[in-house]
Amino acid sequence: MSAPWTWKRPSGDGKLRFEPGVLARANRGILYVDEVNLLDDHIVDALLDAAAMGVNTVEREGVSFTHPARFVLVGTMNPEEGELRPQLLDRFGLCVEVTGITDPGERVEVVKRLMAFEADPEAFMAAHAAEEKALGEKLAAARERVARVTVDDAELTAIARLSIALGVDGHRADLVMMRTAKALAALDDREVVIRDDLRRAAGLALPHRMRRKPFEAVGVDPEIVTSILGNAA
Amino acid sequence: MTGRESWSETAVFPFTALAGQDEAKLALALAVVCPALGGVLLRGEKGTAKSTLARGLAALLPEAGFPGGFVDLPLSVGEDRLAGCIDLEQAIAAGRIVCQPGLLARADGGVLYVDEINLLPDHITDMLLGAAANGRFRLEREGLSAEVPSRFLLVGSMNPEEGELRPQLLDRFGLCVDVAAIRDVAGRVVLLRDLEAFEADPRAFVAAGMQEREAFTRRLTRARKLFPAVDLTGPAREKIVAAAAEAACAGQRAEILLSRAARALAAWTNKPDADPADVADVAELVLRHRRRQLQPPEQQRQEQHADPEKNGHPDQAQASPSEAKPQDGAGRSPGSAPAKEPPNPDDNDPGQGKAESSKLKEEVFAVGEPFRLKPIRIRRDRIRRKAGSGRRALTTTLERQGRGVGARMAEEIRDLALDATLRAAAPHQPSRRKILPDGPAVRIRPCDLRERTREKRMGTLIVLVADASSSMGASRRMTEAKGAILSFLLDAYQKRDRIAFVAFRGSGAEVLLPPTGSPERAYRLLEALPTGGKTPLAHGLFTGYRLIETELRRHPSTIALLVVISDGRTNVPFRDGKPLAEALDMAERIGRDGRLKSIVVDTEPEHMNALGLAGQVADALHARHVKVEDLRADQLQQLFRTGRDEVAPFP
Repeated sequence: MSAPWTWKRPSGDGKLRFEPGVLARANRGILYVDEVNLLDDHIVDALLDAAAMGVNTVEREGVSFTHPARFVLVGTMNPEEGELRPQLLDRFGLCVEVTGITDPGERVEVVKRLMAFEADPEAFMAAHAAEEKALGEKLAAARERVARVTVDDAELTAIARLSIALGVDGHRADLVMMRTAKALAALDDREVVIRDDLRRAAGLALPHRMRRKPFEAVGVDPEIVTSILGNAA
Repeated sequence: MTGRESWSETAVFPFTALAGQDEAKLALALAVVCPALGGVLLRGEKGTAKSTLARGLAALLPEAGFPGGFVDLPLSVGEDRLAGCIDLEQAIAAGRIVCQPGLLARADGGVLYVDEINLLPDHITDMLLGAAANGRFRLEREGLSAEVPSRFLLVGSMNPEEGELRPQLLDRFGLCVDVAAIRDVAGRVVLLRDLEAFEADPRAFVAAGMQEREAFTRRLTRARKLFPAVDLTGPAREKIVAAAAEAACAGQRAEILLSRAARALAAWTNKPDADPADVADVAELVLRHRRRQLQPPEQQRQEQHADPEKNGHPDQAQASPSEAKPQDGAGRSPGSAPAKEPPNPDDNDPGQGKAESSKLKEEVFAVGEPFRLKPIRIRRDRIRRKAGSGRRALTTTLERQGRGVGARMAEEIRDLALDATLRAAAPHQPSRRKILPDGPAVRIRPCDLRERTREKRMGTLIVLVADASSSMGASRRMTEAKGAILSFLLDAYQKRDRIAFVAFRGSGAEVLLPPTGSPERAYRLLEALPTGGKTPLAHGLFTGYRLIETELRRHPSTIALLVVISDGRTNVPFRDGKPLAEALDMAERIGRDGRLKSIVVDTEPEHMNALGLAGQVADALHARHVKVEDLRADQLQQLFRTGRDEVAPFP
């Protein structure tokens, strides 16, 4: 993310040209940041700007340029190495805690698959091609369907009540829960959001938006969720 | 697609269609009616549509007859683009020195919007302030010299959790709004429905709100016309003086802004004169950010102080001699035994007693009065540290990290600033082309070379590690310790240091606050910090040290200070050994790391049987050992004074 432009000799017209950076290349795609919590602050600022606006504006080193930068932000981090700034954390729609598998049988399966892949990557890919293709098609269909998915007032009310009861900052949690529930419904071949979509959406959208209190486990109080969304069917 | 904001689509969510946020809308309207108000600051938690409001306003301005444009200042803006710089293409092609106007010039007569304004780098903020204060600025660079007009309405938004705004910049904002989320269910559902509709079909949504929008812009246009003729009634003037005096604002600025805002409101409501009611309606907008900075939230403080009997134990000072009989250093601290049952004699409500004994005793103590920290000790500490780290100071110049903030001429170029180099070479191209006709496209000489200057985070990080175990509950020591911590927070705020906060109690330590520039967050956490449980000192030291290590890995030039607030007692083993021995061993290991300095703030009360354990911890850490009482600058002076009085009788 240093100089945002290049000087191109071949054209010979003495004109400055903007050289797209990472944010421009991520447009309409996925921007993946490993160890997102270790990013330098000024990079995080640029990321926040772009993530908030859907455009990246470059106003430095003599360059004034704006380009679209709409991307799905995917970050990974190890919380032991430091936390993420709240403003950036909030930009992530969903948050998942990844833990190691503890079931011995499953662990063996993981190692087996890894070995199979390493031994013959092509054969392994071929063996899973059908599965991959099916998933891709399912995603494409869901993407097409999601615009038609509707949410009842009752479900929206539950979303709002949940956010208020849990004391989440701002409205982003509500919005993300609504969108996630719709996406889940679309993935499940439905065009109406049901209560179970909300329950799953809450689990993904809320954990990283909870306000921390000293010596209280961070996390969503399951009692509050159950009291508002009811028990899982 | 998830993870994307509906209000960030290219289509702007209509200002007038946004549910709620009436105060913010009013403030923005008033600032457009009277741009001399200087601007609006939207403060608030994340996700409260702050930037949606600002950008929505921008879309309205042309229709409201507002002359200027809207400039959205990105945080990564460089000095060159903010102030303007030489036009590189013209310079190289024709050898002409032509100014390429910057954003400050473009904002002239319009709105300059800065999202996350509290994160703007200092050198950019300085330029912004200069232009905002004078309505113009002087451009002097690369052979350019010009006086550039730059009058703009400044609109900023920020989340106070991310750090505070510099007071000078805060003062530039005539109006300030604390934006909050809608708290009632129905309102939130309406907002969700609106966003859903806008997302599905932005054009239809905008069209549906057209009437409302037109009414709003008509009103804005009319108010703008009316404003110059609006006067203040006599009682309104009196009200203004009274309101400014009540808020104890320095200077005349508050009065001037109050009268402008009140007149703008009268114009907005189509009245010929502003009356006291108008003043009352705008008073909060003008005054809320001008009251003395960093007062802990008024209301909360009063709640805490309202019932000192319950929070602290004022009569413990007298009762303590019988209680403080330490058995052994590693064992149970004197406070923990009586803490099991409420030591306060007034506290014999049976229901409460039962509830308390059924689970771990836990209390939340009030935050003691903050005091001015005696400055010299820590200061000297820092200087010595800096002097001792000469080698690292050298390596930081080699670090090619950080935000590029400018360029300079240098003997030896390590980090070339290509843009500045080209700009320096540009005006000479025609003449050099004559001398060297077959040279490269751009002929660069050594004298053109410029080195990039980068903002180096030479900041100080203070990691506070505080004992929050039940032993701190005795004799209001937690209240006093909290006061000491708050004082560190205030001091850090003034020096723009960053601060982190670790508390230990029960079976471990927890990072309550990762390194941050926001003392506000720290204060909230401090206030809510409960006291109770055992005392795992080693865990606290370990966790605090790990924070510092992480920070040093990211920013090797950070000056790190570990502040341990404890009486040195501990009764939880870190591994399987004796708690005290383990804690001292941990302290010694940390003490060996030359990259950080430590201070132990000793909370053990002055006492006959004082154990002096904190002193041992301090020795192991190679830390300065200070009694919590001695931190107070004012009390120290008092000590000197009484000392002199006592000495006086002897000539």
